[in-house]
Amino acid sequence: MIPTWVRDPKNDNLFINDLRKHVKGGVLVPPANANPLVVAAAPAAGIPTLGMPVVYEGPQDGCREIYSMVGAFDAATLADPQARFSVQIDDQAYRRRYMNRDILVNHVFGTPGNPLFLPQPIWLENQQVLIFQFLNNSIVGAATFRQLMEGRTFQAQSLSRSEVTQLIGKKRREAVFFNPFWLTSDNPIIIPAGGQTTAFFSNARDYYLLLRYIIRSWISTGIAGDVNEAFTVRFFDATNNRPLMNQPMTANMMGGNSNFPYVLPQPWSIEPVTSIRADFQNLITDQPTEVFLTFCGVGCFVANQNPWEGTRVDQPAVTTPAYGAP
Amino acid sequence: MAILRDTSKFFYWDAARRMYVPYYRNKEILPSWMGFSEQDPRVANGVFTVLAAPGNTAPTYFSQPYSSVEGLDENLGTPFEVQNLIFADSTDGTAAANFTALFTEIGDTRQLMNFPCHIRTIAGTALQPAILREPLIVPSRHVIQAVFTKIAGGATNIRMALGGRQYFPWAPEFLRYKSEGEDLKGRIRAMMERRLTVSPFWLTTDGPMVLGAGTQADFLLKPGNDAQFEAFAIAAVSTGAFAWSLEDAKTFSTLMNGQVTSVNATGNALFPTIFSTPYVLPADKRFRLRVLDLSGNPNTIWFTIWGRKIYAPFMEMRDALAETSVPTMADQQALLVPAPME
Repeated sequence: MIPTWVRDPKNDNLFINDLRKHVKGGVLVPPANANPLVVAAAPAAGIPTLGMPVVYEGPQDGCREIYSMVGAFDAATLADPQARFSVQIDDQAYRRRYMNRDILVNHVFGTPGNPLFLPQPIWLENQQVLIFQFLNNSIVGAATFRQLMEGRTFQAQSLSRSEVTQLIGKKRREAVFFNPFWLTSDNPIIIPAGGQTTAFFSNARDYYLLLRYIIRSWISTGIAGDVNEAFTVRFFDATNNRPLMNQPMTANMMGGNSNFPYVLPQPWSIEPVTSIRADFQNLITDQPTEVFLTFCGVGCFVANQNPWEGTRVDQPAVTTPAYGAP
Repeated sequence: MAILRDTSKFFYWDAARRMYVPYYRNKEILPSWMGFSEQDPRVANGVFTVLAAPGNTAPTYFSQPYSSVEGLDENLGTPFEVQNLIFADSTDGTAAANFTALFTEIGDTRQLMNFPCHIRTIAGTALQPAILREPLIVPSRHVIQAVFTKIAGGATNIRMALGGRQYFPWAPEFLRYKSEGEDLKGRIRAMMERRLTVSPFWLTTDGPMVLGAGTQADFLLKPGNDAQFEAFAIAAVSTGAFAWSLEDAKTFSTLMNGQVTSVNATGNALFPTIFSTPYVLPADKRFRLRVLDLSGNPNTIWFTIWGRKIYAPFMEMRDALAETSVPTMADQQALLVPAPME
């Protein structure tokens, strides 16, 4: 935090901290030709239409720290494309993707009143580039989407203060290792009418995840059964089958939306190369339910240890015949 | 939000390896949901049926099992720390749920509320969970009994979860990460000690407040004499608008200089009205709630103050007891409580 007030030690007079002029809040918007972004309907189910890559560029006058994401569809966008519009975010500088696959924009962007606060800020150096690749998965209609990211900029004038340069140094170190991360199911989740299905959420080899939020949404045309709660789920740590709940929890008891995500009372630590298992039960009895479930948290790069490091493989004591020898 | 961005409890900077390394112990604390006990045969897939009004539904319960490996838990078991209350009503709809709940910690024989509270004044949903300011610690083998009573209408199917985290101090991996296991066990021991002295509490009136059109009446909120009550927030459900004021019934000390309206100063379980400074009501005192109907119609009001009970005497009271030859009943109760919290 930047303190507002500073006291001159020589005469004890009170001043406004001049850093307040140079560390400024503000927003980052995409180029004008991508705001709004219009993406045509998908040609067929399972074949999304890709929008033009949307480039967010860090400012030239200082480093920028992104705190929250805001986005909205134009009123003309139909409900189905709104519920199926997804995004992949790539950090071009570090060659990182912030999610395991495309995530619904409704799980990434909040609204002006309730933005999605990132569990880990995104640190952008001067002219560092993020690329947002939007996908329209709906065959019903086009999607028109507007977006921005909120944060603060450390302008060049603030670099004259050692506190700022030290803070930036720490932020840069963190940026090497930490970034926000969205983890969704490995494959789309469709629960048959009144039936059950299982989904896995797999972590990559180099990431240690700290999951903070659960966000969910669903699509179903069913009218029979419990259409308000829609489905239940049981989570398990797939590495040791340890359950997180003793009873199945409904959609509204285990997850929120990007305005009000369910903030896990304890962040869920997910080790590299492990996964989450989720057992779903459809409470809607006359139609299948398509479920979109996202964990949002912090991805931490951990060095991938060589499992053979420090292990010496002894030569066999007895000479064995070469393979295939008579 | 600053807390959400703080990763220092989960990773540390290893200067020698020049990288961040996760603390292993966090892997053994899981976010969890504690639903109704599977051992109650009336619970099917987490659903419990509350009988139609005015019937009495027999209690159900939440229970925390005991588990351990080769005694590695050092008698700490697998404690559960409740941090929020979440529910769903599949019959009436969660937003229109119309039943009361009364929770009792059976192991400690502590009632967690003085009278049944309207469910929509104490529990929320995952989008806006009713967050406890004082966590409820449920040790292994402890049971929270829940009595649900329908206020009006037919039977309803409900689900409920105590949301929080579960500790696994006996994880075999702690044989490898010994110091982290000791850290975790130390944290659990501190929690166990604290729960002896502090527990969450919901304070309400003796039944709903029923007002005639445009009338005013006084009601008492009685936390009991066993502990001090610290009030954090207010949540209410009513059939119409009302105005209210709150005062200490014994000292006539008021919390406001006039009546406030429900529109301005009364939240619900999703967004309660939070006291800017918690108010401590000593053990032998009560709140008097003066309520005025503003709706112009008969008005039924369920009013709940969220808080915690502190089973420790005030220092002044203890000093006074040393010099008082005839302690009051309330003072005598206070003598029985455990040592004051640090």
